[in-house]
Amino acid sequence: MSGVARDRIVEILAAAGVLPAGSEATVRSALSGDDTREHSPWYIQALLVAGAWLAAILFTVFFFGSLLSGVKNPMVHLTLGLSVCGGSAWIMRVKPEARFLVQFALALGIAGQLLFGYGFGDLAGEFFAAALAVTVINTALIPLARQRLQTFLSVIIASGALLTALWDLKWWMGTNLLALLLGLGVTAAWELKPWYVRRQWRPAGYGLAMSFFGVLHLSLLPASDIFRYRGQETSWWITTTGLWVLLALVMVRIAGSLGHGWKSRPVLMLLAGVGVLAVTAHNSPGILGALLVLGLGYQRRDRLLSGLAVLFLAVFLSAYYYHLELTLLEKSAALAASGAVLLLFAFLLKKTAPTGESVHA
Amino acid sequence: MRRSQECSGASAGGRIAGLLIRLAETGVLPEEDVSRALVACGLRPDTVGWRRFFDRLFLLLGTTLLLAGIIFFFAYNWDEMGKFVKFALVQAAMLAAVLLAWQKGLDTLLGKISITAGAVLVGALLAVYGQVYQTGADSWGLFFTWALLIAGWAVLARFAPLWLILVGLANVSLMLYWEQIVRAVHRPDGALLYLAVATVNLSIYIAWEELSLRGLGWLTTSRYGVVVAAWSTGCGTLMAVMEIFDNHGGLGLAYLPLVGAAFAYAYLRTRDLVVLALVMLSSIVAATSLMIEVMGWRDEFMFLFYGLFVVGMTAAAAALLRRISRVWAVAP
Repeated sequence: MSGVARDRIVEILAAAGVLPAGSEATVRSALSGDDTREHSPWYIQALLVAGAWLAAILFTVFFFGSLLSGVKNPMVHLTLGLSVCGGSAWIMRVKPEARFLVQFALALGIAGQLLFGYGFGDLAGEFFAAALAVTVINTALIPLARQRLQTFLSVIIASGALLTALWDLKWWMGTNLLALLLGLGVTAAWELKPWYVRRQWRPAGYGLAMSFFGVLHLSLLPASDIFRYRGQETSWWITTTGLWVLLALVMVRIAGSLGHGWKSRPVLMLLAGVGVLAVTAHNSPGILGALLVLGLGYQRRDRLLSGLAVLFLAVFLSAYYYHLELTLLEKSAALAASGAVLLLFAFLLKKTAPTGESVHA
Repeated sequence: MRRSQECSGASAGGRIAGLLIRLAETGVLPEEDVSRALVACGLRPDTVGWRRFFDRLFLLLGTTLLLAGIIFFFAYNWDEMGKFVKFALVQAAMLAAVLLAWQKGLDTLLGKISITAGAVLVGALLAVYGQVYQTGADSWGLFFTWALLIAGWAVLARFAPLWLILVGLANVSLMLYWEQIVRAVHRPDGALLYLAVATVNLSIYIAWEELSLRGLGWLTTSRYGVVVAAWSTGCGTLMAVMEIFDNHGGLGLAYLPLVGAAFAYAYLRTRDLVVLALVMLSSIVAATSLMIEVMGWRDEFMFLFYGLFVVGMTAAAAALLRRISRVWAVAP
């Protein structure tokens, strides 16, 4: 960073009253401190990652092949799997700079989880118990390993394991609750201050977002598929209602931080608009979920999160219209009408929203 | 608190946000003040920013849904439409794209994107032609004709993504020709196709880089040539693995001159470390596959050895790349 840019940032922060008294020199020094670590170029890192995963797969074949064919005791599988997970977490924690070693440990750790889950499931005799155990292990690995890719993968694996546990238990309501829990998690990760400040937790935020979208994808499946449990209704209205409430709370909170009460006209219009959307797309919670994440991504100016949300919004919207039980002509009318309503809404919002001056915090 | 404009700009904003977060993590800046700092630097949206966000969201979504409705309407009436109406629709869209490109000029980004859209619509026109007249032609002919027709536009536009589309169409034509003509008559194995694709794309990559080295300005700023090289390397690796595990034929030997040529060109001519890394990775995969096939894979213990082999090869490749990089940095 150039000296001029650094000084300018310090001036801005000082003028805003953000810097503690007398800390300008410290901040200048911290901003000008060059990172002396040698970073490998990205293509060497990519080569190391690819090589590490390939080697880990081969080691896993050796490990599993010789172990599973020779040892049948589930307790041994469980213990060994746990040891491998622990060892890989330790390597990632003590040698975070060694790219090859970290990726190798990460890949082996996943194999260890599989072995642990296999042993636990064998011991407990229940699939869902193994899935829950994998969830617990991954939750523990996040603070133990403190490695960004591990954090990201652990969140996704834990969520996936929870989902398979619910599937095994044939508890449809649980899937709705899981979707809501993940929505809450995404909101907490990206909206509450302590989370986004700590860089190592950002991968957890991305992992939660991906898991959230993954679970919401189930709403795209026809109801007659895997989630028809003993005649239970496979409805998503609980998730949709919960997400509408969550989205409304986030909107009110952000509006509040900008000096607008929840009773102001633009906020009420937006709340009403989202409510109408919740009612018309009550079995497609993905649309509300994507809008929630898009709002959070924009608030945090996080392009990756916003990009993911835009991508999934396109997927959920397309699926929603595809699954409408209407003729092609009726669908064209529905699409055109929805588009016209949104354009009208944009026009009305322009009329009622405040004029162009900034609101100062 | 005045908002600053100096801190705006996507990459600058990301750097500044990262720095502020680092200041908070090291305890220099109190955590609760990071939000205020980000607002002060203009890195959090204000009311105007949010209004703009909703404006664009509703506008974009509304327009997309409206256009989708119109497209669905035409799709519903497609069978009832006369052939001239069908042609007129696609040609009108093509004409609009070309006119926009002409009006904005091919030196502007909008002009280049418009001509690219027009090039894509050429494919739609050919598809409608095939549907209306039921020519019964093989699909490889459609993609080949498409590529031929847009080649001139690609030359004029000097736009790397359009060239990449052209290369993509050439690849699809080749692969479909293989499936529909060559395999139907001669029944060669699939590895030969991958060798052909790898060779063609390596030639395209070399031609691309040679033109870039001869000063074609718009090529020197793009790295799309590496995409072609990556595709070539991937196909070459697939060919080698297929020959090793399935066919056990002599065709696998063709892998050696292929990667040798890629390595030599990237090392001696372009000094492209990315392509060197790709070639090394491909070599590691091919060598490991050969080792597994020759030494056997029924004994699980051998996989420990193969794993160690990969570790050693990867470490050696990374060390070699670092050394080459340092040598080139000293002697450009």
